[in-house]
Amino acid sequence: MNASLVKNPAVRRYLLTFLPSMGAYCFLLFSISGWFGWEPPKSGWGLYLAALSPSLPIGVALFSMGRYLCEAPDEFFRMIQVQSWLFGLGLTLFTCTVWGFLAQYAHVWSLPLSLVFPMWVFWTGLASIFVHLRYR
Amino acid sequence: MKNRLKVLRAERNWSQAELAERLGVSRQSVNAIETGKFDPSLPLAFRIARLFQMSIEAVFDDLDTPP
Repeated sequence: MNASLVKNPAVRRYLLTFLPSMGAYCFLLFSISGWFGWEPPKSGWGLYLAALSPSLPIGVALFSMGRYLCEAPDEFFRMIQVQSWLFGLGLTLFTCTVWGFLAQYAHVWSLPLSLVFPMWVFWTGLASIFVHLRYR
Repeated sequence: MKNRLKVLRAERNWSQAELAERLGVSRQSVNAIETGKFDPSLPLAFRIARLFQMSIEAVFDDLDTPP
């Protein structure tokens, strides 16, 4: 991201929401994995709350992305961001579909749905490099 | 879409950064518009035309753009 853009309030707000939410997601994911691996709760509200907790920061991250789209100060960078998200989305759909067919017909282990969002973030990050290079 | 932004900017001895500042966009936006990699929105096209005190058609040429 351009250094001068980081000074913009909309970009700063986006980064200050998105990055901590991703940090919270990682922290909760590893905490829950450790807790469930060590002594998994058998039932009750605690089980559901713990299982759902890593998804809450993802909701916050998605909200921050939507807000950024509305508030982005520079239409060129907004277009680059949207293209990166769309390429990431397309690659995620493709990967999930390929994996789904492999699981269905070749009995490969099923892809956990909780990995779909991190996969999208990964593909988006990769796609953004190529999108930036395209418009350099 | 072709445009005369680079020529108009050069006539005024403005750098890309200077033009970007006057338009309220990033330098990369100006560069992408000049090289024809990015077509500006209608509001930005109006801002550009007003800045150079010209009509939009005098700055941008859409004759090569397919319908």
